[in-house]
Amino acid sequence: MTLMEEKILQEDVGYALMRLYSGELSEGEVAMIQQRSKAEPEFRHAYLGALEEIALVSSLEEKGQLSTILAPPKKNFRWLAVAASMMLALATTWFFMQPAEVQEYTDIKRYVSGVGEQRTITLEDGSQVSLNTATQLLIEMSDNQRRVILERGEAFFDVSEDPVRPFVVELGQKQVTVLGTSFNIFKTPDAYQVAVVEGLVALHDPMEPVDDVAVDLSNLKQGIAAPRKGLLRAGWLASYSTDSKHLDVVQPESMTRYSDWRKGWIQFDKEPMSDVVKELNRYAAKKILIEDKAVMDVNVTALVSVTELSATLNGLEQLLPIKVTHHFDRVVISEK
Amino acid sequence: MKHTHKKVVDISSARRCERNELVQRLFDKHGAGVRTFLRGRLVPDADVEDIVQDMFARLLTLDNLEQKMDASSGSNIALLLTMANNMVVDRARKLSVRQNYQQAAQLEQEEHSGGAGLEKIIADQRELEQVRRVILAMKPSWQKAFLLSRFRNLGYREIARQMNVTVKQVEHYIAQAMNSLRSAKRRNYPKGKQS
Repeated sequence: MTLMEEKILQEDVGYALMRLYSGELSEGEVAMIQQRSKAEPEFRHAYLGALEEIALVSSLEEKGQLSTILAPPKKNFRWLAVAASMMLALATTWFFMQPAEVQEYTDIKRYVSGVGEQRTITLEDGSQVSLNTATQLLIEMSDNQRRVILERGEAFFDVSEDPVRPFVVELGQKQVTVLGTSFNIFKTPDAYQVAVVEGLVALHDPMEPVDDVAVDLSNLKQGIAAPRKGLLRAGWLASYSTDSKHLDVVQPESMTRYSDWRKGWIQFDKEPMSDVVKELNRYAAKKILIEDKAVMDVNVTALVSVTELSATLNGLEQLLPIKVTHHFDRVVISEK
Repeated sequence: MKHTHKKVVDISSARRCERNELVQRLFDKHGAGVRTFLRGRLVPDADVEDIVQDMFARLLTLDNLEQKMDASSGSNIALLLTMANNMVVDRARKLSVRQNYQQAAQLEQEEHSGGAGLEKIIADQRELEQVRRVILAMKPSWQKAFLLSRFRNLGYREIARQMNVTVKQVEHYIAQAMNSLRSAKRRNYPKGKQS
């Protein structure tokens, strides 16, 4: 390990510890720390070592040995301290009288949508974030960045351009950085799916700088180990597996699936019933089950509503050779 | 006589009841945060609940909990996180001793002879002294942010307000402070031997 790498590692450890003790650690950050520790024994070692050290510090306190550090200045210097504090007070007054000084504040908010619920948030910069069913995210707007931690679920981002404040979406093992564009992210425990509708985004490892990304993900072969960073262009869909760490990049025939859910619609195009039901179940409080194996392979081409699921199921029943039965705790689809 | 005795029992059980409620409230409020902390601290999922239970039990009998909570003007979660980290470190230490019979036997012998035990105490003292020196040598801003966070149990936002800087700056100070503690440790124990 070079001196530079060592320094970077130390800084990453310091940052991770700072977040750990913030009391606001997100699931995404937990995943990041766990993944990094698994992949890099040096990180794990440094991180756990520092935590032992912190435990030692708290024993210092219990023995009262820190009182010397925290104690007020010695008696004979007290007048000096008073004079100094008066000067400081004057300086502070002067400082606050300067009109240009604006107190910068970090503002973290949490947004959650329930099963079957969709909502759109407009941020102070004009960007819009739409949450699909069962989604949870944190948004932090500060002076030098706009940060979203997508904890779970699916969200569509319509980002206002702001060259000095990159817009970052943290996913855990990967994150997405943009300057101005619209894109959709669907996160499950074992996969992240990023679809770019407009513009360009960088998909990269959390600690990776993005000012010099050269890899165009659409040129890569299917199912390769994900590079540390790469660019994803409009019209492309990248799926990352958190288990295999592999990336699949494809150009879907249509991008409507990744943006039209915001209007409450999903277009299925020759998709097997099993996939359709899986998708609809994301919105369903009462889960849908397929009883007959033959039904699973029935091809579905339809534009359906996800907000009116029972109407959708009735429609599908008319259209396809299936029978829908509503039970008190579930909906069962069988062969007609 | 009988009457007084009954009264004493009543008071102590009332106090126990109060403590019980206090601890319950703490966990209702911060239980999720403590669990996230533990998982972020690389505690295996299977052990997280064990440690939470241990913490609960310890808090019920801790001597000066109410005082400690009053002393921390910030949110009490920092108090719980410090405790959680200490419990994980203690557990690991006990476990490694238990796993290493030879070490255990040695430890027992040390306890009997008394001499080597003293050596251990001195080594601990030396390490504590080292940490104290590192804290004293920190840049004033790092030191202040770190101490306010670790010992006054203040949140980063509250520290930012007290120090009149931004939250981002506080985060930077704390990351740097934790960093320098870590480098001190590395100088003490050259790399490669630890697992």
